[in-house]
Amino acid sequence: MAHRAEDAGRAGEQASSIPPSGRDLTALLRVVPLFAELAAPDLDRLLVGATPVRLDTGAAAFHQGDEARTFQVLLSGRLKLSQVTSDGQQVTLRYITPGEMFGGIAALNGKPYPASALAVAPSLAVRWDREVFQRHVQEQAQLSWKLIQELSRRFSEAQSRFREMATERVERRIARTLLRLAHQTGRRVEEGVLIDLPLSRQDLAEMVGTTQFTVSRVLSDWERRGLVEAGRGRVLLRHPHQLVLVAEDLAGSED
Amino acid sequence: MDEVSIPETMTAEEFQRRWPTTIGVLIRRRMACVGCPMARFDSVRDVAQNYGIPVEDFRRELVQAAAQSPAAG
Repeated sequence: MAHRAEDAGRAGEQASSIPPSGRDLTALLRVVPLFAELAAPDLDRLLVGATPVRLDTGAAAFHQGDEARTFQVLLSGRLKLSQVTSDGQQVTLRYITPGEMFGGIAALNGKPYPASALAVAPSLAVRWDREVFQRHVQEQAQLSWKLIQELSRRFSEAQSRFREMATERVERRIARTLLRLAHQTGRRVEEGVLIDLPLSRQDLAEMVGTTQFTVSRVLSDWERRGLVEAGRGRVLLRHPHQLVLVAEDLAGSED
Repeated sequence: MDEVSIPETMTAEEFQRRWPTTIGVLIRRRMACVGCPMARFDSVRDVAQNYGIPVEDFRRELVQAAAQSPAAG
């Protein structure tokens, strides 16, 4: 599944600045996990109402509070999904990587977007009007089944994060967050696994649900121990296995 | 169908996916690789190093276990 998503990313990056259409768009949609198992005629039918959208770094796919009119899938690039709470605190909910749907849950419910989606790299998305996508789902059983699977995956992810917040020490939460990001966007490099995202300590603090001060303290400690290298908006996991031990609380007495 | 060949460079994710019976080796050795988010990055060699065991021993166990998979042979 992840390989397909990476393929989608590469395919999108190869495209020129002209948004793809027709056959090109079908090829891009084919590698989206949500659509991967659709029969060719069903995939072709999905093109009805599909509009490619290019987003420069910093551009918003949608803003928190806007009426959710579209269902969207990211084909290449990276988006940051973040929410401003009622007391003004910003929270990074998750990063969207190629092949993932976004804004879909609000669109399915007919609710305003609960968060904003900003491109953190040049990105290509495809969107359908809510009503059009609803029709596709109603007409295609396989698509609706895949959508249910994706929603349940997101739901269990949310439950895991709730459990982490409620019960786990901050070191474990930071380790888990880094591992989750590495799993989602990581790249094997000579020195370890590089999280391929412009990720500041503030971003990480928002994702973990702690302060930037705490993130800095923990990362500095891990840097001293040679586990990670965190600087200039990038995080390198030098010893991913050691982080797994921290995340799973298997690290023994040295912690 | 799927001939058993597990080079040192194969990732933990790949050998578990292709030959699910190798999971038995990981459980027996109390390794955290099953369901681990890093399984797609760490190779047979990395795993052996992480747990401080000789890579050839580990690889032999994996190949033996893989040969028991229904998909193998």
